[in-house]
Amino acid sequence: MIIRPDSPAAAAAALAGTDGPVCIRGAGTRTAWQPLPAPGPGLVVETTRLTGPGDLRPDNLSASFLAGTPLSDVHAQLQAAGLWFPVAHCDAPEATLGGCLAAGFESPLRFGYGPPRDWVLGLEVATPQGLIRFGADVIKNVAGYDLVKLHLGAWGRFGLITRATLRLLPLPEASHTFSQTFTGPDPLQVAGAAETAVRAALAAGARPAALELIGQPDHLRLLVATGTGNEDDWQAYSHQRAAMTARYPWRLKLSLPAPGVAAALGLLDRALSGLDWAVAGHAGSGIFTAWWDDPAGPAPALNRLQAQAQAVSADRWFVVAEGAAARAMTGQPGWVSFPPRPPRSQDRLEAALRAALAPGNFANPHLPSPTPEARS
Amino acid sequence: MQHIFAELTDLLGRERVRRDLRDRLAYAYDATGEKHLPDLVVFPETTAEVAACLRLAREHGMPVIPRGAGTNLSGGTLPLDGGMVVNLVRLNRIRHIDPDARTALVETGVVNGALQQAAAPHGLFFAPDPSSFKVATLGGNLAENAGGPRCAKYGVTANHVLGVELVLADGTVVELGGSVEDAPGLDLLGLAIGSEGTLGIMTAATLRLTPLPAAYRTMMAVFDSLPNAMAAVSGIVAARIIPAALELLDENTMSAVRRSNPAVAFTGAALLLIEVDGEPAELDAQVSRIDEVVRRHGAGEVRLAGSEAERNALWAARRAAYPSLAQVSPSVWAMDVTVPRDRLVPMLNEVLRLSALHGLKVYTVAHAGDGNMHPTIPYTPEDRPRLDLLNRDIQAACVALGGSITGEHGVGIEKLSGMGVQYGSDVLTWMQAVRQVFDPDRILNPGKAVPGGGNPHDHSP
Repeated sequence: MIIRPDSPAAAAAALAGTDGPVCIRGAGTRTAWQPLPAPGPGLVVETTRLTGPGDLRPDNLSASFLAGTPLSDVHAQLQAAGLWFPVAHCDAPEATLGGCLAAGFESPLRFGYGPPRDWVLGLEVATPQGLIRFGADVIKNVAGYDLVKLHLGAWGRFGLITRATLRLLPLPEASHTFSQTFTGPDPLQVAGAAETAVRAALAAGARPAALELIGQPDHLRLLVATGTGNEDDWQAYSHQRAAMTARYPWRLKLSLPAPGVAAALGLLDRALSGLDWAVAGHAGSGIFTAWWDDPAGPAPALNRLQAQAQAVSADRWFVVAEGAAARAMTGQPGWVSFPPRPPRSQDRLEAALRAALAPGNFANPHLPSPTPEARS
Repeated sequence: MQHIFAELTDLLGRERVRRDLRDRLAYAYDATGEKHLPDLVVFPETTAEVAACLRLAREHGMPVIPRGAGTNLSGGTLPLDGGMVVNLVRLNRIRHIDPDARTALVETGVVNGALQQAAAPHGLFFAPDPSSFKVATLGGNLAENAGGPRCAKYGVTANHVLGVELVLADGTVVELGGSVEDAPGLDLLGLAIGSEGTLGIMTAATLRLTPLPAAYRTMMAVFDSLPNAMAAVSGIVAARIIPAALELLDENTMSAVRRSNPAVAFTGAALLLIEVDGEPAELDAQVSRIDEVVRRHGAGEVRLAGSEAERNALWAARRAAYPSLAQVSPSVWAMDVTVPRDRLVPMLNEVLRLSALHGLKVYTVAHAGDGNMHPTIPYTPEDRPRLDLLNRDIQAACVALGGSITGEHGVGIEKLSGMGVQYGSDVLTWMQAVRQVFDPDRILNPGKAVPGGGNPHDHSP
């Protein structure tokens, strides 16, 4: 059964007393990552009707929105008031604010403004025990543990985000995006030229909001944005990423010490040698997404990448296989992360927190744990 | 006691395990002025030694109180029930600064100011700068999620931490977050930052560094009324300017500063110290707009620092505030409420009303740019019953306005009773559950940060 509550109270009523399994979702723009509804009489609670005008507080530089509000609509409402949530996203325009927060979405603006977790002041969450409000509408709040962050990137496992209070900035008066293209037959030379350009941008004392890289190994485009960046350029960038997601079956995320352009592309070039692949990266932050095709499945390339990352960057790296690649590796949707170090104690803490705060693992139980060991 | 002392001495050597009264007295206090004697003080130098100390403490059922420089203002480092103070100041190595990645890998006993000095030659700084930065350790900053004057622009400590090495109560060492961005899994790092030493002991951290601004412009504006000063704060925000610092001193505080420091000759009902940073061309335009805004809201005197010496002189007035109040009375109660920035005026009015109601003079300093106010009350032992009522009422007023009982000082023991004012039992139950997961035996900093749940020192209503 699918329920689409139109108020936080209705969402809480839908979850009242449940011990699951409940599939919690926004607009479903990341179904490749999301848990599938459990077989049988499982409940799906979708937030797409939890929408409406935001509660804007310009003199506090904050605003609250219902979680089903599309992120694009959040930006439009704020822009009309001269305000700005300095978090862009590269997903479908209908992606909801709550879904983006629950999925721990990436922001190309993180180089200039930090990750989305820095811009959420409070959350209202529907749980089987009712609606709970975490955080406060203030920048500084150290009263007890920061339970807001526990929900960000938790994929709804502790409850359904019904409302979010965001920290804002004044809308910048001027915004620009500059782009530069690097081409050549040798991917390492292309990557080297891109890294040189990134370093030059940083050394010049510029404070860009974003340093984004996108393309194929022989053809990379660097976007340097100031202010909010140019809206048309962001849309084109999002479309290009969407096209890559549609074209390639496998996808991974690689984190390295920033800027790491040459290092990341070198690793990818060796791991994906002879395969058709594409890349996009938050070049200022050392975070890269790669898409590729390999009839042999994702495992060979992921194994090569792990071995080489360890050799190049010791412990300063993460690789996360996402969506279908994770499913192919584990039989489950979601993600699978490397390095598969000895079972991380964090996994034990995560399992204990889920047992303590989400009794019966009621919400999105099909989401895998983040490392293979934790599942075995 | 003799048994654990012997085991700790075997582990660390005699010199790094102290139990003489003289040594215990030195670690019986923090900046609140209360005193509680620990049973032992240990000085580990590595993460492995911290882990071994915790394993021994757990075996012997001894409370553990992590400690940096002891500058915290909420009683968070007081050994309420004796126990073992784990002093982290010898974990004081800056292991690595990566200027390209703009990160620093540090041990948590490193002093904030030492990291600032080490990062500056790379054109970088660590944005969190609590007033105690010259002595406070980074571990203390992380455990308290410290603030400071620059939060409105740069955010709080949690925004500048990529990962930590955390020793759990059972001696297990875990890495939360990582040394690069976007560690997979739940954001347990977010729980650890600001947990006041109750979830584990942080021994190392990867911190995000920020490019030093190219230039600063520092201004001071004096107003003849407090509401006018606060209206100017709103006006600056409305003018689309996010100052690096926007500090307010009320009339009482200005007068205390003048008494203790005659060189500071500002007179008025309120003073704003405003600092913007960035590229020089942008700053000049911002200064013009700020000048127009503050004058429109009745600023009588507006001064722009023309040199680094003048900038330091303006900051000296702000930095003298707390020491000046300490000269008013031996005992000073510093509150730490935060309200939404559009509620600063009603909050200030409420503080004035409650001050008159309870007959205690309140001196207010505020990080007005982020809504964080420090109503500060000099008191004598006889004043204590009235002070408790005033404290309770100010906390209640701030929560009623949508704020928080503590913006940067932490809950410690001082604000345990206010936690039930700010949060319902649902949120407190979640916090207790989190603590139970990390420290089921409750040996880490017992009686601090989160009330209830079998907390032996919880005296909250």
